[in-house]
Amino acid sequence: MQACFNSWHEFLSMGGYGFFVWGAYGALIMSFSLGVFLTRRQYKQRLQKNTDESTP
Amino acid sequence: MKKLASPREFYRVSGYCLPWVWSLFAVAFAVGLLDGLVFAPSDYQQGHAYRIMFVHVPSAMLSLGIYLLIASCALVNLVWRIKLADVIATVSAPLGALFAGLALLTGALWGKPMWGTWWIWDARLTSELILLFLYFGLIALRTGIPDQDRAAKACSILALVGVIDLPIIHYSVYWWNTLHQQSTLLRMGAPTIDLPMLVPLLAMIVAFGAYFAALMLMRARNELLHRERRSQWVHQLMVIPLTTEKEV
Repeated sequence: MQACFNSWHEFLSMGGYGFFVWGAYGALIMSFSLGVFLTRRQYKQRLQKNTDESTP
Repeated sequence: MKKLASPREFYRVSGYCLPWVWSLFAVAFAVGLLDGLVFAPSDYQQGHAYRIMFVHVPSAMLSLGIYLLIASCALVNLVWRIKLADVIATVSAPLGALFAGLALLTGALWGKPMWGTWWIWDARLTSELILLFLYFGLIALRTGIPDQDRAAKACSILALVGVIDLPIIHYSVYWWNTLHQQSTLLRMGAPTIDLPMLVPLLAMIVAFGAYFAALMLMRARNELLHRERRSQWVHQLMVIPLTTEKEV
């Protein structure tokens, strides 16, 4: 297997399409991270609410 | 199967499955990213811009697949009144909206350099946008109706009616003259994509599927903690995390 880029600059510029390619991958990473963050926050909130309700 | 449909059993089994699903996601995502961004050769027509495909295609596939899952759960809930099916449908709708939104956004980012426009009222794009609105409708109905049973019924009916959009999305590129290209994977015969590009695409499809499965399980567990909060097993469950948190 051989990388199809010869330098970091070539890799980042993506043949002139860097904004579009990195924009798409950036949106992916952000939305995946947001999904995990919101789900974990929801878990903590549910846990806290249930604990408050169960304690007299 | 009937045993797994009980909330308590689902909570227990999903807890065991989650680390495996996250592991699958990590491996497939790493392979897909590395292969798709670094090793896959550039396209002879689109250059490196085609690498958006490794995000766009799995997002679009998941947006359709999740809706099909929601519709199946809606049918199960309406016919057999299995509450777990409603839980899965409820937690899957925001995830489906996320993938539909991601498919539209990455499609726009791909469309601008290739078609010269961010958006066009093309049959494929418009039907995918309708799918996103269907997801928003499901979320709005769920949050807008306070009574859980009525909300479940309304969402189930909307989900089943909305299924009509799925074949329209898939066949729109064959039925109408569209800017969007025809299917390269889900078609009769072998895929028309070259193997070095197919491998990272398949890895990303697996990764996206695993991500959805993991988040769906986590959110379903959260939803069960809320819906079953007055049941004995949730009360028992609350004791363990509380004590361990205080000890830490």
